[in-house]
Amino acid sequence: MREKAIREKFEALTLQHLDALYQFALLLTRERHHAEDLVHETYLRAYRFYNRFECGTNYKAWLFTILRNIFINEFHHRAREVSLSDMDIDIEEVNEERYESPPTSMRLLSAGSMAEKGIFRADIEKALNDLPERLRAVVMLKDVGGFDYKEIADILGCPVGTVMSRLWRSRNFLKKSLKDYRQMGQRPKVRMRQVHP
Amino acid sequence: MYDCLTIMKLLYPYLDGELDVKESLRVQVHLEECPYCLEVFKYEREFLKTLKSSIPVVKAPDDLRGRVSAALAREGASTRRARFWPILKSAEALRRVVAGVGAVFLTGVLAYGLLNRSPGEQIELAVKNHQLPYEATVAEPRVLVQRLGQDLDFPLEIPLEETREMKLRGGRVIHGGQGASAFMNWESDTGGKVSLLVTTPARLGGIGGKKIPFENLEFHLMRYMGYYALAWRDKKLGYVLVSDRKEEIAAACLVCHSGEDARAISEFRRHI
Repeated sequence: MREKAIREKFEALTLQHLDALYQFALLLTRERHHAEDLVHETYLRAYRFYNRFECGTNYKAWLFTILRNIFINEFHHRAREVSLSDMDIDIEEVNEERYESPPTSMRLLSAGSMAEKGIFRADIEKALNDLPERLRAVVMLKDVGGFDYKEIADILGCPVGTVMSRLWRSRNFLKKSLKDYRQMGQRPKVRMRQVHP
Repeated sequence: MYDCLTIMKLLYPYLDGELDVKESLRVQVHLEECPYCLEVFKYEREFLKTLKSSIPVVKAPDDLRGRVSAALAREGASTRRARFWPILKSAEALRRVVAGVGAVFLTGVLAYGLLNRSPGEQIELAVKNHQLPYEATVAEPRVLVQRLGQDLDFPLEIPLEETREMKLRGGRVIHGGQGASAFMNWESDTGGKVSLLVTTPARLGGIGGKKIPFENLEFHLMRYMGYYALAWRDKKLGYVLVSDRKEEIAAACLVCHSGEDARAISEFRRHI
């Protein structure tokens, strides 16, 4: 039956991304059942569009875009309140945030014990949760989803410049959080030369 | 040559592999010459590497994959049946989309559909699709018309325009028993929802409802499933406009008829 063949092909192309989609849905909805519904609806919608619209070969980004669209339409009826793409920040504004150097504890991590690694993982998880949602979304899409800047911009519906500045700010925020949690007294071995005027 | 400030800005794009060959080389050259930036680069590279490997990866619940597969199978099956049972397909779509309360609503709809005479297949299609959530696909009217036109077997010659009062949310091609129709929806500035179905005059079929002659055309206004539907045809196309609110039907005309026709629209409003 032709329908079955189409569906199986669709599943082969898309089901591999289910976990990643679920993680992103959880980030957006913060609730397991909503996240499940969102993923469920995403696959249905994608399947309906599968034959009708050209989706290119980048199925992962396409699925994420559908998920985000559904999220905005169904879970946030007043899209004006929550927008993953608003606040069009110019890359120049990045200079106004103080550069945060990475925590020194990390340099020991590769040689560290399992316990240390475990603590670090817990710290990262906490730091990610402390991130504002808009910033957490870009980190998840970049460092977990593996999307490039352009794909992230397409998924979130914002300019590439905004993606870049948000990544910068979110990573900066993470570095600061990690240092605050660990309160390491050590100073970095090499002093960063003053690059800001 | 790049100065340190520029390098700092380019560091993440460089580490994320976003720079082209020329820019990458410039960064590398600077790093070779500047020990301070090199230190920062090494730290940041380490940081990103550790970050990536430390972010908790959440797995979806075990049964989700199975449920999605099952839903896709049902979707495929219902698409096949839809050629013969348009009501069943629309009902299937409704059930999926409207959770909870929707289950009760669905039973009512089916019962209603069976007990009441249908106002016409295209009217039914328009109202049922009107109830689905917005399609946030394309918000640019001309682009949408062009895209939809590619999937239709009749020319979609409608002068869709940007208007202040109505915000285009998207559209798609829908399939009834007789063939394809274009379907688009908008959000009005008062938060109401308006949809327009466009098909061939022949597919529109016989229309019931209250007849409203206006400007050499015969409009038909009716209520169906609690929504207001306005249907009419001209030489080339058949139309069904659906709205949550009666007051918005006339204003909805603005999506094709610009503000110049404002007087005609207020005149029309009085007829409804």
